[in-house]
Amino acid sequence: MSHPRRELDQVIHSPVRFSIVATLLPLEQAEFGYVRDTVELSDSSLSQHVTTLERAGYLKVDKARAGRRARTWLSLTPEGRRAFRRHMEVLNRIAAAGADGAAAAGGDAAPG
Amino acid sequence: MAEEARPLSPGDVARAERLRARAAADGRWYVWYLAAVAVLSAALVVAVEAFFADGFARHLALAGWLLATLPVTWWAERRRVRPRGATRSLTVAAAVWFLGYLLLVGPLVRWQFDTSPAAWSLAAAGMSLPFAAAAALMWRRTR
Repeated sequence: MSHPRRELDQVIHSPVRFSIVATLLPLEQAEFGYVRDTVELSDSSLSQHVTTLERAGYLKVDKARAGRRARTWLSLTPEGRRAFRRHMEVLNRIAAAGADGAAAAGGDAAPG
Repeated sequence: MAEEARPLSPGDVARAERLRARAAADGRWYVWYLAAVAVLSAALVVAVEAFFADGFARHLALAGWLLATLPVTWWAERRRVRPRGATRSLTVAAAVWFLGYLLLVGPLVRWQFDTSPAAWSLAAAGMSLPFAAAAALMWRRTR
């Protein structure tokens, strides 16, 4: 049986992308600048991560004009939401397995 | 780059949860937007059905109502986030309001109570319930 860590989604497993996806999770869409400020990234760094997430099919980018202002909106795709949920399930399984292992080790070490 | 290569730590998961909660809180403005739409929709019905039911006054009331909606629309347009389900909740609530007004409540109240302000106020309050329900739903979602 393979270890659950092999099921981790490598696109989401990066701390920055994990934060970006977590920020977008309760939202229908968020402005690029909002995500940049919330996750505390530079424009270029966020752009790179957005491209990676977009290529994976996890994120959608929409550009809209509001008067003279161009606004870039980011939103998670249904696949992105599913991937995040799956990722969290795997993390929880790993954490639970770790806790069980620690409990078993503690039980073994306990004096009979 | 080091940040990119580093795997997730429990601290990262805790930070992500804080970011998620913050984003949810930042989307709460939509609850107040839906509440404003509920009030404005009720005001429109009472104005054009009870107080300015006939002639040119009706058009003026409608124009006044459209002017009153402008600041609300402008305020909503300036928000940087939209909570999940925002478009769907507003669309469903507006469809229920419109169909209720057009097919059921509007004709019934007009037939039974003509231009009675009390009857139209009650009817308008009832018809704005879909917006209130949508606001309550969004409140729960953004907690």
